[in-house]
Amino acid sequence: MKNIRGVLSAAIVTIWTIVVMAIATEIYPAFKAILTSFAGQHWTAKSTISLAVFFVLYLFFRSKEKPRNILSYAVALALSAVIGGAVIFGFYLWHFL
Amino acid sequence: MIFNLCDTTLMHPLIGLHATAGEFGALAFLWVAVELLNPTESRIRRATWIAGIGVILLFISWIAGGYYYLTDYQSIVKPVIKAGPLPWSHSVITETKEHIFLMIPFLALVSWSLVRSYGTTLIADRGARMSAVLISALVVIFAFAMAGMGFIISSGFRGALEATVL
Repeated sequence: MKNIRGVLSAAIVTIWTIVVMAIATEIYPAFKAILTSFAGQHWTAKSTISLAVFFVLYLFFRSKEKPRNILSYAVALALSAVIGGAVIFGFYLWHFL
Repeated sequence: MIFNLCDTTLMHPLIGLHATAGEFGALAFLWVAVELLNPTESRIRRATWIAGIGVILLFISWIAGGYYYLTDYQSIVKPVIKAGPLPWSHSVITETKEHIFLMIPFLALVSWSLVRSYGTTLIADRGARMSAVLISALVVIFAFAMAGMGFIISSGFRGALEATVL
């Protein structure tokens, strides 16, 4: 995977897809049922979808030119992962309380 | 028998594989980050190999942990934890871990791709080098956070078992 713009963009969108799926399965039982019917268990479906999203978007975003602002892409990815992780933790904490 | 080492409910080989692969994967990316702080041609070559191995280890950890989660954890461990004194260790920590965990292999792929794509130009390109260091460090932090969450989850299970025995 040498097309770095494609890898970074795909990773950012994949992370937010994981966050949305995590919350949506708890809020919308119908969505959880769809995921379960798709792969037998909603976590398996989330894993499969996240892999599919990553590889499809990698192909979609790939470009032979390297981005000039590579550090901005990396910071956006790091912030997505940290904020996305905090959102997931906060949601499950709120859901438990 | 008090200590039954063959009881896979208490000592499961998939958990061993999941934790070992995950922690060695984390150490691989710590190695990558250190190599890139002051890169030379040979350090970048080494970092590329180590990042590739790290990606494989983190995918192994994903598959092993996922298979255990879908089988033994769901049917045996989860109901015990939820009935025990620390139900939040499943409801908050496991639920968080099972989703944040999905992000780590993608972060690892990005780090590996950065090192492979830029190669020796990382020596002169500070932005690309700092990007690779940043994402590698994030992999390390997230992977060790998973280990910490694993400790809390196993404490929840142990607490529930102890509550029934003591």
